[in-house]
Amino acid sequence: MTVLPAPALEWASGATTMTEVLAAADRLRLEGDRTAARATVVNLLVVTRSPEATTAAEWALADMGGHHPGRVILVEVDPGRGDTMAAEVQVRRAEADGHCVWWDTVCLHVGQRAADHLDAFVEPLLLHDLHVAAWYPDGVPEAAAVPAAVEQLIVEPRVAPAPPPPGTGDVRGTAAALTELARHRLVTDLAWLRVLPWRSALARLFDDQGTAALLGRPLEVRVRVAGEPWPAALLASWAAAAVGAGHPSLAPAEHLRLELDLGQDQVVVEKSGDGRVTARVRGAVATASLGGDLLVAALERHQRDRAYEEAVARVAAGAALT
Amino acid sequence: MAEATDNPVAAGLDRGRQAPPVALVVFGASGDLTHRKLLPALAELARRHQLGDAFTVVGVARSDMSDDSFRQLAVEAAHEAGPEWEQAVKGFRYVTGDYGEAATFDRLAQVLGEVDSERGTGGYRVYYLATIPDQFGPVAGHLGEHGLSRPAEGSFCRLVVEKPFGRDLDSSAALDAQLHAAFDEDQIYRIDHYLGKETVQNVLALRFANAIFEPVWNRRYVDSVQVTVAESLGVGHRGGFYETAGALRDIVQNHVMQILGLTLLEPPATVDAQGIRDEKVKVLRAVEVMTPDEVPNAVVRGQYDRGWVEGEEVPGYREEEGVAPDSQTETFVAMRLVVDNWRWAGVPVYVRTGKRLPKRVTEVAMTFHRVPHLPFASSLSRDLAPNALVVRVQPDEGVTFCFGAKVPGPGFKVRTVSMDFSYGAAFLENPPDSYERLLLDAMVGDPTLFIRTDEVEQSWRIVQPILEAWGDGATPLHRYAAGSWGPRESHRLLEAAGRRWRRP
Repeated sequence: MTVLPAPALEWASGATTMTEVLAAADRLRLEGDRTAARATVVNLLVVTRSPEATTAAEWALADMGGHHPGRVILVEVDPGRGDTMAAEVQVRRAEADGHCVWWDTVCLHVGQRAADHLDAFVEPLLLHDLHVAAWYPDGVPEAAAVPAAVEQLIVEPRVAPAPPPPGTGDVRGTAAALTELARHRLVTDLAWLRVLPWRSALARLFDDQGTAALLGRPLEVRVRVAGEPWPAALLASWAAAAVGAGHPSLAPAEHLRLELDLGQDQVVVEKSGDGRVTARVRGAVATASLGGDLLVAALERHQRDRAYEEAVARVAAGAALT
Repeated sequence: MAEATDNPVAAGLDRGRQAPPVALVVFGASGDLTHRKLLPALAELARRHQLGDAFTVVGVARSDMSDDSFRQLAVEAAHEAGPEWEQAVKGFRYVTGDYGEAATFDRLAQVLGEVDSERGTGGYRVYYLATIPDQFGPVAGHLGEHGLSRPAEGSFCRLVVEKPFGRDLDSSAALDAQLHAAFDEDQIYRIDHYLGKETVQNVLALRFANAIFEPVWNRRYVDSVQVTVAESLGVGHRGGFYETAGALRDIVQNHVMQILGLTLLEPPATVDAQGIRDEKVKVLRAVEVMTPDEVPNAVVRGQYDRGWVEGEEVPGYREEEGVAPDSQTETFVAMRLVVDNWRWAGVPVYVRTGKRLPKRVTEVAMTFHRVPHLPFASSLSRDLAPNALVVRVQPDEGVTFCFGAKVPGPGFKVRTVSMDFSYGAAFLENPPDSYERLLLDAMVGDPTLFIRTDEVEQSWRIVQPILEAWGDGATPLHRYAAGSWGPRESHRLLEAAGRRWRRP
C-alpha cells in the first residue's frame, strides 16, 4: 500500500465542538452501504503529539479496523493550537474475499488544555460494551494523562541510546514508568511483541534435548543493540532470567542480536534475511517468523504477561543490564 | 362519528390510524413544551394524513395572542411545515387568559362551541395540560365547573396530564382527587413520553414475539439488571424548577419506574391497555419498600461540581442560574432495588440517573450469569464478559447483544463481541417521535402507553421512603465532577457485590 486508502465517508471541520462531532459520528454510521446490524469488538484511542506521529499512526491503522472493527479515536495534541478544535469523522472499510468490514474513525486535533481533560472528549465517543485500548505511539504517557475508561495501554517506549542526553528518557526510568502504569491497567508493549520472534526461536532451539543439555552451565548473556535500546533491554532481561544467567550486557551492533555465551559454545539469535529470525548453536537451528501487524496482535492480548512484567521489573531495578 | 366499516369503499382497506375530528385544547400553548414537542408532533401527524380535516387546536395561555399569531407560531414550530399542516393550522384558535379565572373558561367554552359548529369537531375534546404542575388541579377543576369535562352524547372528553404527578405520595393523591373531581379515571391520560419511544415499546416485542428470550428472562439466567438514564446537559435555565424536584422526582419516580415495569413484568394475556397496565402494577407492587435504615446503604445521591463535559468546561450545579449556593438538591441518584417475586427474587436491579454525566444515554441492560464452567484455558478467555442484552432507548435506538466469539486465527482465544441492531439503520422509516405516537393514542382513545393512577401510586410508594430518609438527613450528598459517571460511592454500591456499572 503506497497511498493511504480514502475513507468511504467523511465529515470534517476546522473549528468545531464535541456536540457537532458526536452528531456527525451518529449520522455517518447511518449513511452509505451500512447494514443495520454490525459487529464491533474494540474502541481504540490513539494519542499523538506530532503530525509525523499522526501520519505514522494513520498508516498503522489503515487495515487495523478490518481485524478489530469498532471505533478508532485519534487525538492529535498540538500545544500551540489553543482552544480551537478541528475534527474529522470517517467511515472506513476493508475488503477481503468480496466482503467488507466497516469501522469508524474520529480524529480530533486539540490543544494542550483539551489534552489535560481528555476524558471529556473521549468518553462520549466510546462505543458501549467494548474493550477500550489506548495506543501512545510517541512514547510512554504519564499515568494521570490516560483517560479513566482505558483498560489496555499499548506503548512503544522511545529511549535514546545510552548515554542519554539530559532531558531524554532512559531505560531504567522507562521501566519504572511502565511498572507504575501496569499497576492500574493492562500494558501491552509493542517492543515486547517485536522481540517475540527472538524469544520464540530461542525457545524452539532448546526444545531439542541435545541443546537443552547445554543449559545449566554458567552462562553469559549479551545483547547487541542497533537503534532503540528498549527492545534490546527487554530481550536481555528476559533471556538472562529464562536461562538462569547473571546480568546481561548490551553492546552496539548493526542489528538486534542475542548471544548466549556457554563457554565452548555460543548461541546466536538474529534476523536471517528471509523474513525470519534464526537461533543457532552447534549446528542446531531453530527459526521463528517475524511477526505480522504488531498493533493487530496487541489488540488480541487481553491478559497480563507475567514474563514481560518480570523483565520490566528487573530493568527497573537496575539488575538487568551492565 | 362515521366508522370505517360504514364506508363500503373502505372495506378491506388498512388505512392505519387516524384521529377523529377532535378539538385539542392545549393549556400552556405559548410554552416551551408546546413549541418544541407538541406542535412539531402534530405537524408530522398531519403530514402523514393521520389528522382528520376537522382537527383543530385551541391554544390557551396567559400570553396575549391573536388567532393569527397562534397560527403563525404553529407553522414556525413545525420543522418543515408541509401543505397539510399549513391547511390544518388555518382553523386553529387561541384563548388568552389566566387559568385561575372563570372568564378564561367561559371564553374557552364559547370558542369550542364555535369550533364544533365551524369545523365539525362534534364535541370531541382532548385537553392537554402543558402547564406548570401547580395548574393541573385548578385547570381540571375549572373544566369540570364549566361542564367541559363531561362529554356530550356520542362524543368524548379526555385529559392529558404531563409529569410530574405530584411531589410525593400525599400530593400525588391530592392531585388525583382534584382530577377525579372533574374526570373519570378512564378519561385521564397521564403521559410519560418515554413510553412513546419505539425502543421502549420494543421491549414488549422483544420479550413476547420471540421464543428464545422469555425462557431466560428470569432469575435463573439473569445476574442483574441495570437501568441508566444519563444526561450530559446541566439544568440550564431550569434551575429554579429543578431545585424543587431533583433527580429522584424528575426521573426515577416516572421514567425509570415505567422502564422497569415494562422490562420486568409478567407476560400479559393481551397487549392492550388493561393487560399491560395490570402487569406493570403487579411488578411495581413487588418492589420492596426500603426502611429508613436501608436507604443509606442502598441509595447514593450526588450533585455535580464544575468539570468538563463533551469537550467543554461547565459550571457546577450550585453556580447555575436559579440554584441556591448551598443547594442540597440531588442531580444524581443511584440505587439498588429488590423485586420480590418468583421471577426476580435475588436479582438486584441497579438504577442510576444524573445530569452532567459524560454522555446522553438511556438504556436498560440485562446481564446474564457467567457460564458455570469454561472449558477453555483461562488464559484464552480471561477477558470474556458475561452475556448482556441491552435495549438502548436513546440515542441510536436499538438492541445490542454481547456474546463470546473466537478470535480469528490459528489459536483458540475467545473474546466478547457486540452485535448491534440499530433502528436508524435497519429501516428507511425514521422511528416516530414519542409525542407523535402518544398524541395520536390520546385522540383515538388508546390508553395502553399512558399511566394509570395505581401505577403512579406504586411508583410513589417506592420512592417516598427515600424522600423521607433524605429529609431526615440520613443520606449524605456526594459531589461529583461534571463529566464523570457520578460519585465514587455509586460504584461501591455494586462493587460490594462483585459487580460494576456498565459503560453505556
